[in-house]
Amino acid sequence: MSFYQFALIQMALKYDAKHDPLGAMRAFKTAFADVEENPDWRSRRLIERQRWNPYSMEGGSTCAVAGDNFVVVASDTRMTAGEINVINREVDKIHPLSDNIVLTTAGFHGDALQMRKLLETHLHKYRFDYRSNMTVDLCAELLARNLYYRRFFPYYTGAILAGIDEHGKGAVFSYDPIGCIERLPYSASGAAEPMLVPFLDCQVGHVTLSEGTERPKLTLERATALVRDAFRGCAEREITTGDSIHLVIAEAGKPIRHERRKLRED
Amino acid sequence: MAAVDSFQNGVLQCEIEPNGFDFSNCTRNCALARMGAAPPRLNSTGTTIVAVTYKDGVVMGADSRATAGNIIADKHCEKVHYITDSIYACGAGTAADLDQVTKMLSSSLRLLELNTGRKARVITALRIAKQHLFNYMGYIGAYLLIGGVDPTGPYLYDVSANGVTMARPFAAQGSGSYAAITVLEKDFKIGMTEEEASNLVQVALHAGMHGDNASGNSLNLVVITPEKTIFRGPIVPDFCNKPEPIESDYKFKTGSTTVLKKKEIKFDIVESMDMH
Repeated sequence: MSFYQFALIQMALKYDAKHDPLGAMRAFKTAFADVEENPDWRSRRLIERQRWNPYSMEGGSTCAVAGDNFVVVASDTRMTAGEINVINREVDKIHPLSDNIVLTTAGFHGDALQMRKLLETHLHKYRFDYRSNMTVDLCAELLARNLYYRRFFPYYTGAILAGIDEHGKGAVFSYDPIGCIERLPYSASGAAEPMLVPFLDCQVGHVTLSEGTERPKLTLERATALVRDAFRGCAEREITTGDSIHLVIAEAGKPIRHERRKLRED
Repeated sequence: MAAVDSFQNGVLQCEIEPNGFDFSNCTRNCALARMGAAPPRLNSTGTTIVAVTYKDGVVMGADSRATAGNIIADKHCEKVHYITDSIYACGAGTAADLDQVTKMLSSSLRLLELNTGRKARVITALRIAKQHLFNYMGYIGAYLLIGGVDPTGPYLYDVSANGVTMARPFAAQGSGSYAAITVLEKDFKIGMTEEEASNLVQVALHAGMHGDNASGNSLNLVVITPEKTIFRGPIVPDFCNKPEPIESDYKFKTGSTTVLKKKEIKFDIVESMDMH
């Protein structure tokens, strides 16, 4: 059915074109003149400008798990436009900022890149001013303040900052887009966050385990295996997560390690 | 008068230079919209369906992923629907609508076949589908590719939810159709063999499943020839396999769940049945 036929049916309902064809015609002529005077496309442009939306979402998910002397950060590498079209299969969404600080983001990739640049600049300046590297706690606070600085035009990202703190322990800081900060043992963000968090709650947080039950120790091997499995599970059921897993492992006193694993591509 | 002049100039321009878009209906459509006519609704259809006619038959295929938002609701859903023994329909759009429309089509065509004692024609299926869909003004979100072979030859039709239909030598529908149609446009030839046609449909489906987040998992094919109908599937393409299996096992030891309350119910067995 064409738009015209469709509209005619609707008009007939409204104006009863059969019994009052002249009335319907007159109404149409008035409407036509009205459109010529103030066309929709002009006002629509104004409306569009009022609803100007500078944000987009590129999908994907990311998570981080902190251990006694290590932290595991993982993310998928797919970039998606409009939740449907795959536009890149090998994007790095984990940004190592120094030897002991790793930033990982989900959400609007443009803001993620800008945020990384901002933190890198601050870290560089800190190194210049104080002749030492920033601790992850300080960097976490710095990021929180920078996010809240843009309270009314936020960076549209779900950021996680992970690293090794000054006591050599793993640290994970989780943020909302406007800088609410929380130090957690593990965190997830992005499209598959609702799937990752319950899995980590169960396997890392042991929230469902009864009191007397033995809890497996969170070794580096266990943490990486869990995180890999978490992403394999998410790729099964979440459409914007896939292609490959990028793992970044930071251990106290060791350089940062990267690991890449395949995920399904469909 | 100026408006009329510019309008006529516009028409002339269009006739002289047959390039670009034609906006001549914009004002009319806006006027109709202001009179209360709702513009046609656009549905997002998370699917890839492809169909191709060849020398003496039709090959149709679909992926098997059903999505609810960004979540995969069903990994192995059947989008190639049976209409009659030699007519099938691939569906994109609202899953429930597709199920019901294709069920309705297959039952009414079976009745027709029984009443007339002849095989139903594809055009009949098309007409029933479009009249039904037109009645519901697009609110039944069924986008179909109806294909089949009848005594007058092989046919393929593209049916939109609002009732628009087109006869096509090849077609793709759904969110993966952009990727799939590129393959069809490149490699489709008139008068292909059955093997060429079914390969082309598979490659087109692969393109859709790979490039579109809302399509994937596996594909189903149906090859309709004048003699027989062959259904093939589910076929899992290489890139749809899990590259690595899950590495740990997630079995909970007995006693992992906290016991909050215990209650014992004693009862007598009054009667028992042999359950075999």
